[in-house]
Amino acid sequence: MRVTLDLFSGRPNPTWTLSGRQARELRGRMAGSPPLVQAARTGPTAEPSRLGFRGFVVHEDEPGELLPSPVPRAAPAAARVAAPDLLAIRAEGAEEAATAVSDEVDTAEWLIATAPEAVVGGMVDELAGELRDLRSASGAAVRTARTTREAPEDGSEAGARGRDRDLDDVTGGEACRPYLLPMNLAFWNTPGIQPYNNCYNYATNFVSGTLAQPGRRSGWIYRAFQCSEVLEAARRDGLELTCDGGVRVVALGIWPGFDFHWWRLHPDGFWAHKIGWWPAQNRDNSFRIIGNGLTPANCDRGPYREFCGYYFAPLSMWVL
Amino acid sequence: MSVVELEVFAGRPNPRFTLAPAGSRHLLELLGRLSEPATPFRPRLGYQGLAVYARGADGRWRPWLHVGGGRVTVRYGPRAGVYRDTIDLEGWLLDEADRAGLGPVLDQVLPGRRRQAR
Repeated sequence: MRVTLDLFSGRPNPTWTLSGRQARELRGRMAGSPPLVQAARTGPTAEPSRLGFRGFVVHEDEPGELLPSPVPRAAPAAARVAAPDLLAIRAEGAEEAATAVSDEVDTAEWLIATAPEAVVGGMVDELAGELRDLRSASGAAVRTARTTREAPEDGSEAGARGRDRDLDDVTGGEACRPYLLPMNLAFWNTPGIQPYNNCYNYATNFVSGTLAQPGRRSGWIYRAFQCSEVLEAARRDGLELTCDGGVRVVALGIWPGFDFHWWRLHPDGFWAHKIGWWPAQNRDNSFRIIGNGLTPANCDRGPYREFCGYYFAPLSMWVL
Repeated sequence: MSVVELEVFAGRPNPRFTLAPAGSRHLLELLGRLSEPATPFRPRLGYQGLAVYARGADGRWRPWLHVGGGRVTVRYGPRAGVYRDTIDLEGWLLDEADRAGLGPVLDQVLPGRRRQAR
């Protein structure tokens, strides 16, 4: 297993190899803190976000070396550790993320200690300062965590069911308490939010600013545009197949081989969605309002012709 | 240099390419020829045109121009001007996308486009 300190923009970044014992310890640290793993092949950011310290990249030598995968992987993966922009996003995700951020900074400090003196000599104090700043900045972000959704999660229930027999079937259980926020498209269609959040963000009511992808948060993104793959990736992020407790009701459609799309249920059987960076809206591809009997299952979905079903996002679910 | 995005997906990231400085200058020249106002573009699922991005003062990329559905939408801060695409700006950008290596993607998501290409 190799580690790269992502620091320079011109000269090559410092890289070193972990011993077997060190690799085992790193694997243990990562297994205990899943959000810490961000598969580099999924592109954690489209481009380097800043000059200077950008975290560590841990490269597998063999597939599965870093984290055991439930599905066979052909190519070795890599994970980013303590990337400042990703940490900031995670810190905004939920209050419990404070612990994960702290664990990740701990791991980064441990990684510095594994570097040979000849590789990072002279930079150790500076890196320690970067990580201290990161820990305190992330802590501040955690304190403002509740601003990243449309409305405070007070647990109140709007109580409306969708006017769709299949949907009524899946939300009809006694334990099912759909949490249906009134539609608030204006929240999503502001310059600071709209261009950076997509259908998955809208469905889960979570502003990550990353055009969120199913499974990216947990490190195992979908591998194909099929219902089963995208659903499995979303389940790793916390999505549920059955309605139990307070949940958002969402729907998934697939453009076979090309893309996925999500919708979210609002009161009185109305649905809304967000197409990529475009404004959130409540109409189908024939510009009809999705409600009054029109649902994601029977509306005009354009090329997203495969309807996967209705699913449930716990109120605490967050995405990346 | 301009970054251009093929607007086709709702969930996964859209394919992108860069316009060389000469292409960016040509784009601005073409925009100067637009004059007929149009009704706003209404996004739908599936292919909806191309967007040109610029990096804002905060370092983040934002779309400032959209071309598709017979319309060209130019954003000026919070406001936008919408024009009829009377010069086939969309066709020119699609050809640029083709030249930039997005031809296989275009063939898949826009079957029949080659018959329309100039």
